[in-house]
Amino acid sequence: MTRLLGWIDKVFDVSFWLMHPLPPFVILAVFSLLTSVASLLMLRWVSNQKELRRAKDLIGARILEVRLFSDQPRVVTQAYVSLIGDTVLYLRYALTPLLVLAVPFLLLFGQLETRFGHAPIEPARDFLLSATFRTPDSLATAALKLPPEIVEIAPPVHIPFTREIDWELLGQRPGIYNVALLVQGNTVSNCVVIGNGLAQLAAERTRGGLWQRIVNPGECPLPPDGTVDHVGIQYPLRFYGIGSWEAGWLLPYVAMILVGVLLLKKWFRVEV
Amino acid sequence: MTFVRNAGSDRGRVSELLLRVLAATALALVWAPVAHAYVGPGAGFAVLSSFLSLLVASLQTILAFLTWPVRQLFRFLRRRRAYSDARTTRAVIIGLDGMDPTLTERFLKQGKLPNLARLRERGTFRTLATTLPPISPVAWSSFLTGVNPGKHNIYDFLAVNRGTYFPELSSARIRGPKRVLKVGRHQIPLGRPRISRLRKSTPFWHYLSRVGISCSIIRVPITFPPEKFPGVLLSGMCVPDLQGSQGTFSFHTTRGKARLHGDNRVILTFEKRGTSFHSYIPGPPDTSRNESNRTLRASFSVAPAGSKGHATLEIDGRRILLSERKYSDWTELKFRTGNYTSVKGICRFYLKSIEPELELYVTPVNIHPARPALPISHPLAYSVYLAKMNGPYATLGLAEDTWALNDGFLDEKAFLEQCYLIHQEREQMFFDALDKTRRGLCVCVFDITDRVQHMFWRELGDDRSPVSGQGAMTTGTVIEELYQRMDNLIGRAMENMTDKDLLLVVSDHGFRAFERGVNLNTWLHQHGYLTLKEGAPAGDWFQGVDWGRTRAYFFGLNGVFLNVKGREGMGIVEPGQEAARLCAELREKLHGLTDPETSRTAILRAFESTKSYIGPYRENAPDLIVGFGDGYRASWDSVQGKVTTAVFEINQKIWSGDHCVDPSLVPGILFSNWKIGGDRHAITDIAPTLLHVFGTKIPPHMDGKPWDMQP
Repeated sequence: MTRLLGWIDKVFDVSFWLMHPLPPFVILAVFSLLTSVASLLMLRWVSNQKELRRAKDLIGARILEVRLFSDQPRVVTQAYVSLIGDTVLYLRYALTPLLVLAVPFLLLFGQLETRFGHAPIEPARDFLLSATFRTPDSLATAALKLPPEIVEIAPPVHIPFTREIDWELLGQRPGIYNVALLVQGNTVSNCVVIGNGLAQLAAERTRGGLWQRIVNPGECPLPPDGTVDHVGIQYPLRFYGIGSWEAGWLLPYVAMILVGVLLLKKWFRVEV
Repeated sequence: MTFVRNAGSDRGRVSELLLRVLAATALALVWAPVAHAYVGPGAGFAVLSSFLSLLVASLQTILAFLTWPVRQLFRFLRRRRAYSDARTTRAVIIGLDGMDPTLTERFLKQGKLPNLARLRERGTFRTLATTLPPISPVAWSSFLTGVNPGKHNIYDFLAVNRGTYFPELSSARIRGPKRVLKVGRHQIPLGRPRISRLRKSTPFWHYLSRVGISCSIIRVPITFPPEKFPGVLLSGMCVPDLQGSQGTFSFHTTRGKARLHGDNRVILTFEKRGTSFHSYIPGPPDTSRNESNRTLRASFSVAPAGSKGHATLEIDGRRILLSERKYSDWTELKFRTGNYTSVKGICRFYLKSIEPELELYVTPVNIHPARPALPISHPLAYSVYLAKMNGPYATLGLAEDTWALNDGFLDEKAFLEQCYLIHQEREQMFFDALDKTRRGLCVCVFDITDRVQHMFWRELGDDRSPVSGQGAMTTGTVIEELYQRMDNLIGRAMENMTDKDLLLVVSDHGFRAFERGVNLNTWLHQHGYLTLKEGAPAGDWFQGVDWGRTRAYFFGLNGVFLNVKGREGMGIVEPGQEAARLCAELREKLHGLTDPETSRTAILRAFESTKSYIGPYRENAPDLIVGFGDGYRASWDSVQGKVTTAVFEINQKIWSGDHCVDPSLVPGILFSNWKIGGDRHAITDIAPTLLHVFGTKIPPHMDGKPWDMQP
């Protein structure tokens, strides 16, 4: 599985490298389009298209029934009851493709979140690196080993109550750097990206197995028997928008997928 | 497009921006210089009227919202009051087009129609007097309006254009949109096609629905274009296909080099490309181009499939597996115009044979019920509702393709299968409407009885036709089984009704054998009333007729028209006394006309329209209506407006039963679960009777009289 995830990482790395001259919003749009196409193909393959269409038609018929026979309360009431039943029927037929699509979507969302969710730290801009430890005594011995391009600009803040230490750092030059956290003789390496543009970023890193690896593919999960519980790097959030409207990557991405699916469904002859 | 920022700073920036905008606006207003310009009263009116529009719209919305409960209460009370004088709260009328009383009686005696027998015992079974002439569009128009043809203006399927002597549909006229925008060779229609309804007078369900009685009307003939009324209606007979005709099928074959565009058919030869065979389905006229006679096409290809007896049809990117001698499901067809728009229709494919010749029959392209190119229901959404509820269905008025069987493109089994597939759809619609109409009126007309009897009457073997008893299915039980299926349908309808509900089972006319055809145009020619041009060949639609020397012509199924000066395009008969004298003369001569070969009476009576019809549209009627005798009908050539050499001819066609005879020979049936008094019941009486049953005032213009009925 780890090998497969590694391959997926590589595929995304190559894809982003190929599109790197494009603005992030355009890259997001390209991914939305690809997702729409893949979803439609998958839907056509795994769903019962005939029954899905039938369920949709019945829902449409019930809605029209309410309008056409509005002078007959019995018919209208029956139509509403049937509408619920037909909606459940539709959901039943939509559930199979939804479950099948959930797996690739999970992998995809993890990858896109690490690339579109945050922006790298701008050069000469301060940022926080926080770490949470398993035992309070680790706080006294924990230290950072920084590369020359990243400097500590304030003494670390110790919060014994949450077993946390926060370091305020400053990246001086664009690049990908390794920041090592030394605790009781163990070293935990973390990647810090300074610069602009799109890059794979790990804003959060926790202990865990495969699940953590899938949802946060930017870095390997922390060792399960190690002394560090969590490492966070305060990358700024990235916003996307048109005109005055802006949002995180997920909303425009989902909206563009929906639009893509609606526009392309006839072309692909897929019932959604 | 992309913004990078710390999450917490967003709100601050928006507030700052808002403050700046507000400050700038306030500054501009405070420091605004005086405008030295004349502002006329128009500006004041504009401001005032915009304000008033907004105010009125807002008030209307509020009022509509506030009065919603009151309106609902009013509707509820109105509905309750609607039935206060009614003798029943529910009436169901099942129309069985052409169901014959004599045959019904015979099958009743044989105990083959148990449900109708039950109706007869508990209620009524009578014959129902039909109209003059006894043709479905005429009779059903009288059924729904309660008036004679002189008031509803329908005298036949076709009406003659008095200017050109060419046929036109009698019930509706479809024309292109009033305005089109012409851009080079292209044109963009500015508006919808114009559809005029030529049937006059008001259907009785309009009067019922106006007082709050719910009405569901399914496939009653001559209801196209659908009229607005507070109920639901699906149009029946006379709804055209997508080509605008009354049903044009296409037949595709590898045999010969056929290419024929006829009245009801298009015959095309497949073009072989590799292993597949290519052809096209003709669609509607292309209104996006200036060129006349250009029709849209849906191309398709057929290739034999791997398994024996199957072929794969590819159309519009879809693949459909066809089985030999089986109908496909309804298939959606898309006809793309030059304006990047499309018209949608539906059709079924029937793979007649794969070897030695590939032969494919395609039904007429029906108007898509879910995306109708023309309105086929009221409200428009009703046809969509039915399509969503039960799937696509035949929308064409004459959906059962009798022409394809008559001319040998379909065999009897295929024709019957088609009829019952269509009937199944109608049954679904009817039972859905019956379920919805627990209070009110539900009317549904089934056509299958008419179509099957036309084509299978010879199986009864009691006529003298040369095709009597012939055919691949000579079991002689097709009509019997048909009547039994109708009986079963009525039985299921009765299960959904109570004794208090009124059930009427009616037919518009009966049936007789069609053994010999009478060409009245030839008779008129032989008797000097119609003259042909010297040396000109006689053809369809009066080709070769010398109108300058013609005094009368036969048109349609029963009509003799005088060539009246000022009324007809090239009329020569003076209106008034000369016309009346000629009419009386023709009536005398046609009355009791005998067939010299059989010595039988070919024409029982001829009726003068001035004496038979009353109403404002009497002038559109034929001058004489011919009542053919038993076993006779207008010949096939005569109906096509062709003058031949013989007046009488044997009917060689499979179409062996008909009803275009004297009305006294073909009354319809009347069954009811209520006792009906009186001894004469006519189809025109149904409308006033239903109004009477629901306690609604009968309009004085109605010719029919309400029956005395007891539950």
